[in-house]
Amino acid sequence: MKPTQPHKAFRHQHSFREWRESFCFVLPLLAFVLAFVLIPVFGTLADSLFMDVAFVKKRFIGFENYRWLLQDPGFWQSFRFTLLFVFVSVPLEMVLGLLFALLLNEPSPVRGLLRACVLLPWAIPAAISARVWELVYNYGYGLANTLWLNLSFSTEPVNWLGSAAGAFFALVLADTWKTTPFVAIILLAGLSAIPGDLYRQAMVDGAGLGRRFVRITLPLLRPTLIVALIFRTIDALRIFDMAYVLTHGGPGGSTMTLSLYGYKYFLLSDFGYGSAVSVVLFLMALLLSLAYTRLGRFGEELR
Amino acid sequence: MNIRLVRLSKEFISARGRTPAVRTIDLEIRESEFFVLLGPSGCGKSTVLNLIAGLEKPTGGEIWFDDRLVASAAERVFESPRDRNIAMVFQSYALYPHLSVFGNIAFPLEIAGEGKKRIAAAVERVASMLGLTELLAARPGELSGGQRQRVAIARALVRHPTVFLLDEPLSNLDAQLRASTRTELRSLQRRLGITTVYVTHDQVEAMSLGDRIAVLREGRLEQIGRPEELFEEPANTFVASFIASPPMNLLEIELFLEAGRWLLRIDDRELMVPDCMVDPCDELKPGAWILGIRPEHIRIHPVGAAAVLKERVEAVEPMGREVLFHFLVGSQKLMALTAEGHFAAACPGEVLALDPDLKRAHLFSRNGKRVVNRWRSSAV
Amino acid sequence: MTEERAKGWLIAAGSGFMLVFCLTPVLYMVATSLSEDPLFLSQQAGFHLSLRHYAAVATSGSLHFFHYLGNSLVVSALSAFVTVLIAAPAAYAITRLVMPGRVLLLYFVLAVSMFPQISLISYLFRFMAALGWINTYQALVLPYIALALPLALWILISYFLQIPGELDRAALVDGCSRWQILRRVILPVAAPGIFSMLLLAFIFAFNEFLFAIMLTTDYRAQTVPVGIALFQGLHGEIPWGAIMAASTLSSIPLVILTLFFQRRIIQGLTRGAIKG
Repeated sequence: MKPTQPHKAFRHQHSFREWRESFCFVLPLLAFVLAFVLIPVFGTLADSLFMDVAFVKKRFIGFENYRWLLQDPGFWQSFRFTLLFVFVSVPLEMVLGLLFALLLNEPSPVRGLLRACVLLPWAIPAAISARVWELVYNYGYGLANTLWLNLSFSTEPVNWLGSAAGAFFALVLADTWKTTPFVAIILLAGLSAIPGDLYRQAMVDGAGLGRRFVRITLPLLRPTLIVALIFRTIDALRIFDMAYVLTHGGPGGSTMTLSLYGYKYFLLSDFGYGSAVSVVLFLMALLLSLAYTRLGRFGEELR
Repeated sequence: MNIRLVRLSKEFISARGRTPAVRTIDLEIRESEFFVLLGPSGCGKSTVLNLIAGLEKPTGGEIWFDDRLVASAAERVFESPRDRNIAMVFQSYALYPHLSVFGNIAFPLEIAGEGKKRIAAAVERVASMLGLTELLAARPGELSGGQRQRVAIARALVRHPTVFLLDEPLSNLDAQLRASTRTELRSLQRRLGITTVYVTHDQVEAMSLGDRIAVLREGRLEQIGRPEELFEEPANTFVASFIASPPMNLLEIELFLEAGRWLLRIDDRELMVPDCMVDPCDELKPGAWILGIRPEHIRIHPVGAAAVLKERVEAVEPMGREVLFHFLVGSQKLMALTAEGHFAAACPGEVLALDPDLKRAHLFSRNGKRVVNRWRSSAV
Repeated sequence: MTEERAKGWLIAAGSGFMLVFCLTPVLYMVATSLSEDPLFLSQQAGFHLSLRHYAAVATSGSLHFFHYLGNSLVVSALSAFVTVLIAAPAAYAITRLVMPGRVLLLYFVLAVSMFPQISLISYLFRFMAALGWINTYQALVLPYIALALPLALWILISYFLQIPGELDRAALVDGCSRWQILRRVILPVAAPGIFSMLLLAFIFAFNEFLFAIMLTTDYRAQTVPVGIALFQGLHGEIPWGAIMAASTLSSIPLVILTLFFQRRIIQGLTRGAIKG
């Protein structure tokens, strides 16, 4: 008979210990998000309620900033522009992204290389590619005008960055170039989840390429399309890098996005007003992301 | 190490509500015993194993290792698996894919802080015991199912555990390998003398491996006993039909008295009940009962002999040495097993005479519980 | 047969278009950097190979290129590594430990990832200024970690979910504490996922612009995107050659990462984005 060991009874309060352990694991994450995201957001929210301009004493003015905002033509212009930008560039990205995804889904010996090439626009910093596009759109010696003059019947170079319409187009193209790879990758994942058997069955049933695309690919890709759509919409709303470096919000403030507009006031040290603009943008993004979490069903995988 | 489960119960609480997995089980596993937990899937046997291991906490009741309380809901006592000095082999072996075989086996010793030399010695000892010495440098991904299983066993044994727990370790192996591994496991356990708790849904495994078997269903203990006891004296219809293959026939019958003699009626056939079956049993009353008789206890004669049951063959299943016949008595199915080769040629549609050996039969009440009569207990 | 041929042509044409679309600006950047006259497209001067722009970048006092590159590499690497250290335990807790409200936490983290950076920056700027941290590494690394955490968390969670729970149980039986399980079992087994996450965090930090431009004012602390965005040249004429050379040089680390690890990057992106 073995001698009994002194028993180490852990006074185990049913799950408190476990909860404490989980909490410790999660604490650093929460701390970071709290300190560097949540608090700044609330801080900005608070700032927007103040008259806070350099050299002027800071004082509480409630929703004054917002009232000015509503009457500020500059604000509305950047608001409209941002929306216009979103409604033009996002569909463009989605279509191109879908095309690229379909192409990348095809088996090919150079598939890896193709994918790497497609990833490049995404991997290169926006600020850097913005300067490249700046040169591309240069009036006198840029690639765009070279192509335009050689490929079209016009003899006049286009003033891309110097006109409102040109700048808009330039911005849309530059941003689409950068973000289409991301859409393509997301959609590619959705595509590869569609079982090949479905297509084979459809081919046996006599469906042609177009029919297969419309009847099988699109419906089954729908959830992924929605995911990509919402991501891109929220990202497009907050566009900053490209607009700042490529067009600087010009010419004459015609490509001023909401982010740039807020930033402009920060540069002018008008933190109160700038914060108000950021809050508006924040609310727009928040609404969209709430819609997203409604449409998505992530919790399920965990349950 | 002797394990006692006292009024053990476990409920899982989730968003969907409370699911009882184990409902108040009392049992004792004796030192060095090879104890089997047997039951259909979902019966709670794996949960019981996890409770013993310390991977789950009981909702009620207590678990004792010798005279050490290792888990109690009421007393708020809970020893972690590490402190219980148990070892476990999982259904899919759970080998660490990023470690070599050596690394896998050495892992528990490393965690315990043993020195490198001692670890190497211990690993080699266990590896040679299980025939793994050549595989020590391989990764789990390179091994066959049987080899992986041996690594899992080696990892379990390297720490000299006092309890050895196995959760359906043979279910991922093919049939032939399963049979040979079974015998190896048994001899290994006998050699080492470790208290072993083994979970399976396969009654053949249970009957061949276990010193004692506990049959579980829906979280409840149906019967505990040695394999022979479960076979000869099943406590209820569930155990009777679960143990042994082909399973015991369970027929709804009616018992009645006629001129002082007991008779039973199946459908419209009437059979005489031997005295030993009804004598002396107080519970016996005329009425509806369940008759349990094993297929091997039904003799088959060619028709023409004076037999009460003349039935049509519905199907014939040759099983190697024996042939299994399926009959339909009224609306109830009946199976008879015979080793007599000359019936192998019988076809469906033929009528054969059946002679059930009622002396070997059991009576069960309508709610499934077996009626014990003193004749049987004294004869066994 | 004709359908297959048509499809083949379509794919070839489409792939051609795709490559042209994606690579043209990049090739243009490289070509300009290597051209004697960066404006080679306009003047009929044509293209002459020359490395003088690269020499200018390397030696130029005003471009401070190596400061920028060094800062970018340090900041990106630091934030990537610390992000793993913080996201991994959280992902482990969410997927394997008792954690009430974990779904809520995930939704919350997801929502946070969608806040526009502009709404964080002014407060963050004053915060950093008050601490005297403007123009330091921590001014950038800390917010970058916070911004990368949501995606990192999702990626790691999706990888951790694929690791069977039996491994945890086996490790528990073998005597591990939860930390040990994370360190010795989960992290090694999830190594590919961790690597994907590191890549994405690195690329994200390297590309980041708004925070960098607001939280750093001195070239000794600034990163590549800021340096290249602001480079204007001394006499009013923009030194395109030098800019493109600097851009090409800065893109090299990213191009190498993308070329070699495209599979890992793509895996990480898809897991991070397609949630459930």
